[in-house]
Amino acid sequence: MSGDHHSGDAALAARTRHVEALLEQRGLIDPLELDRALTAFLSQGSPASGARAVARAWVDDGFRARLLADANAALPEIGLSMGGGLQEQRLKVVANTAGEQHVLVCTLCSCYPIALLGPSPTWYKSEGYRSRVVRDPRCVLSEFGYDVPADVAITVWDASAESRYMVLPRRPDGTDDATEDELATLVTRSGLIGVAPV
Amino acid sequence: MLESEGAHPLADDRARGLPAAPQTVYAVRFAARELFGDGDHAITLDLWESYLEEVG
Repeated sequence: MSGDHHSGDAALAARTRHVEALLEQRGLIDPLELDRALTAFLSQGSPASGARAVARAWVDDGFRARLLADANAALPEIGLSMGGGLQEQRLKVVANTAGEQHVLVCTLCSCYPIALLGPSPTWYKSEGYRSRVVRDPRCVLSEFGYDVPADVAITVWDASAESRYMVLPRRPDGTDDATEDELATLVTRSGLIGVAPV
Repeated sequence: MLESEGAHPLADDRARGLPAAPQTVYAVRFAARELFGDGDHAITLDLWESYLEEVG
């Protein structure tokens, strides 16, 4: 997957539109239904959803345990889900600890839990990120401004099959008095991918 | 081997329209050193059962 992505993407988009038009012409899809499905799929997905799950995990140990054991089953407890697409994807949430920092990538293409978190950042899809973060994550995170301490191990999760991943960052110090809503505002998309501490 | 992720049809076969019976996918953790010869990190990959060979 090297080369000029812009012309590749444009050609693929054109073909997709052509197929869509053919399917509509032949009465196999209803354009309104397609729009409804897309809207439903995209409306729930945003980093704020991930942030809510993280904030809840920070204040509720039971939820945290359930989120880490089976995220797909736990998300509906707070009104979220990985559904909305053709098929609900398995989500695995991995928790940062004092000794371990997780970071996520899809080296093959750029798989990402869009049903929950919305579209992925452009840099996540770049060849530079996808090829380098598996090879030298400490250096890549440093380029994001996150210098992971030497005594913290890094684990890279490559979404190479059907599972999608999300990082559960560590709760920042000095937040004992914060409400759950306030805690959620501390969580960034980068933190959920693992290129930032939170 | 970290865990089983359930059974899924092989993506390569499904993309080519070939029959693809679900097979177990495993999360397997490697030390960077095992894959690249250097590095102090770990990498976890999701591997379909047919990617794996029995050892001994």
